[in-house]
Amino acid sequence: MRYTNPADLPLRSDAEQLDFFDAALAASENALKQVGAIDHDLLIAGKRVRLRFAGSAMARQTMCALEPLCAPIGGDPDVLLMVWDSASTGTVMPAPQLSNLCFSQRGDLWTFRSPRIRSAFHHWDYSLNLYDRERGIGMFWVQNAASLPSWTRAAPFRTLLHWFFADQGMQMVHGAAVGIAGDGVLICGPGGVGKSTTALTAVAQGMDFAGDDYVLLELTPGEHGGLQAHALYASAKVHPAEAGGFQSLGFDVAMPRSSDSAEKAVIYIGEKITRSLSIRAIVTPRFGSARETLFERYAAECVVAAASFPTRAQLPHCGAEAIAFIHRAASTVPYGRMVLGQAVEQVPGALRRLLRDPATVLPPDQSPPSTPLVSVIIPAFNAGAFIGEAIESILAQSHGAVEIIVVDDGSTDDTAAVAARHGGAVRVIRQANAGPAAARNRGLTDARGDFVAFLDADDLWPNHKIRAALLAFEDVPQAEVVLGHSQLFEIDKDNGKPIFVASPVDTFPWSIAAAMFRRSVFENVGPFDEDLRFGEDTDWFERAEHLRVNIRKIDDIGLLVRRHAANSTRGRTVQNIYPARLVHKRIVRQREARAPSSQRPMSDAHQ
Amino acid sequence: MRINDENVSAEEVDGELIAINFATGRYFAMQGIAIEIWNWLLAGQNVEQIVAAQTGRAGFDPAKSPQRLQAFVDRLLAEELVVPAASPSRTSPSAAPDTPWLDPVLEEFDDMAAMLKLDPVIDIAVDGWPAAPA
Repeated sequence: MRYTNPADLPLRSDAEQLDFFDAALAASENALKQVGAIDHDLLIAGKRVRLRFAGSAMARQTMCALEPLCAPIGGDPDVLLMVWDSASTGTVMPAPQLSNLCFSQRGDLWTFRSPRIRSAFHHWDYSLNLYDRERGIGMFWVQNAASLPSWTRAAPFRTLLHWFFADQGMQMVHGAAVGIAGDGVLICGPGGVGKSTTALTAVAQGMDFAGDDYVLLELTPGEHGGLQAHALYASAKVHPAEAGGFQSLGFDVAMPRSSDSAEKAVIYIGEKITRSLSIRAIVTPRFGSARETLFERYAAECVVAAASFPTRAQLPHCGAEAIAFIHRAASTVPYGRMVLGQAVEQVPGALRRLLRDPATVLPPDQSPPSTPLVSVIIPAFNAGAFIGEAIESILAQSHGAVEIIVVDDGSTDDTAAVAARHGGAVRVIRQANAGPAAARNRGLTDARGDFVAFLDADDLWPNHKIRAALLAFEDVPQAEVVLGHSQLFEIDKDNGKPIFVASPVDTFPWSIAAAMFRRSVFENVGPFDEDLRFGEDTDWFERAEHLRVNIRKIDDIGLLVRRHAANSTRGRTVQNIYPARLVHKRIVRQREARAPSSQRPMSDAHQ
Repeated sequence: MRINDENVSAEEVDGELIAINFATGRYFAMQGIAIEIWNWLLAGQNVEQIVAAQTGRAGFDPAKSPQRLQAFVDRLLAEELVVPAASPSRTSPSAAPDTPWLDPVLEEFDDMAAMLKLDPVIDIAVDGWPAAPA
């Protein structure tokens, strides 16, 4: 099977990665020699970024979005980015002979984790991005400049800029920034929640605009410091059907090359771009049903998740430091949720009101409620080395009403004793070894909370996991399950601290422990299948989907999965994770469902 | 032929052969004659050899069964569960078992694609980089 877990692949050595970078650099220099170099300097957040294009092919495609941020060429740049394509230069980019497993969804190349050399390959534009943090040299390469999609033309070199600015202590964030008189609002959240429409409506009504998709955040210390959002691109993207309105307002518009593609139209903001805004509030939008746009309190962790998750899902090598940065940013200004009204043209007015008095419009989040009770079940087998940390990550939750049930599944080590050290906060149940599904089911019979969640003994939760899930249940009361993403982590050998491995969009999407459940859903779907030692989570979700259980997926990290030598799934392929037995059970259920009721087993016919 | 083992897992469970194609997210069940044929194909036999060996078996209709056998093998190939092997092994045709021939059935399911189909399958081009669509 080709689907070996890529996290298990052996890492390439730092020397190999440096050799590859140097080979790519030699190819870049050759491309420049073939067709000549064209330099453009950008001035962003006080840094001089030199783009060195091989010929004009790539410059023609990308400079429209960058031109307003250009400065006269001069002096030594802070970073040099070499940009070229093979088609116009006749130069080949050497490849490091990676298997197809190594190309992750986010772009990180699995096995390439040199602390010095950053590398990524993006499927959305088939670009290779390389950056040497020591020399301050980056490369952007594609096969053919003519085939660059609209999102790359609207926001070119995003990954390289992210790597460079992260080393300058700044953080790119997936968000829009608009404002008045130099003061701005940062609008964060995933795609499709109204960021671009809000930002473009604001700029159409004369507000300042520093970005609709990505901006660069800088935190400056001191009395006069604060949070700045710097523009990276003088462009915005909209659905092609909306583009005409902006054309009539005088903006340059580039329509998608093909009407049947999913590409958006690009609106070029030109000189109307505002290079920097002092951010006075951070909001995450949601669509409301009222006519007017309102603001509401929202948990700090959820605002941070709204900003950091899409950022981390898109920017290669973007790790926990991005979450920490955005946390610090949110601690400097009022934050909350923007409930977008139906009257889009009134949104800029609401933003102006917010900017006049952000502290009043968005008062601080109240202390978290002490109800409802959430039961957390930890199935544990010989987990003495890790279970203490798992329990502590539950006790550290920002939601207080929690009961912890550890089901010791026949351990022969000190699992039960370690769990019991946490006193009355933890109930320990012992059973003969029967597997994680049976242990979870045993815990369920003892659970008293209206909500239930599961955590494996070697994994952890982020501190806001329960609170974020409860807020998601509040937003969609008919939801029966809230499912977040899993984030792999491992312990840094040098300093003992956890480091994130790859992105949460590159992990198994159906982890029981990344979810939270209404306890009542188990009456409908039933318990975990105790016959399955692997894949019982997939099996449960599959049964739940079949019964049309309302599963709300959220863009947030619901689980931190520890990578270590003893992982029960380590070294396994999906052949093990999706065993034939699981699929066979599904087939049997399907046949039973198709059969006339008289032919069904009695147990089904009586349901 | 051989299993398309880059993408396919096949395993017997309770007397049925369960084949999962992780590239397409589709999964399949085979029973009885279908499993026999599957095993003969993987042992290197072709349709002609199987027909020759099964002719005379109870229930094997020389007028219809060969076409249905061919259609079954075509489905296995179309679903990329098996791929032609570069060098077929040379095994002698199996003798017809005592049980009567029943035309093979490939039961097909695609309702778990969201869970079974993992990452998009990335094709690496000759230059070593993922290939952009033409």
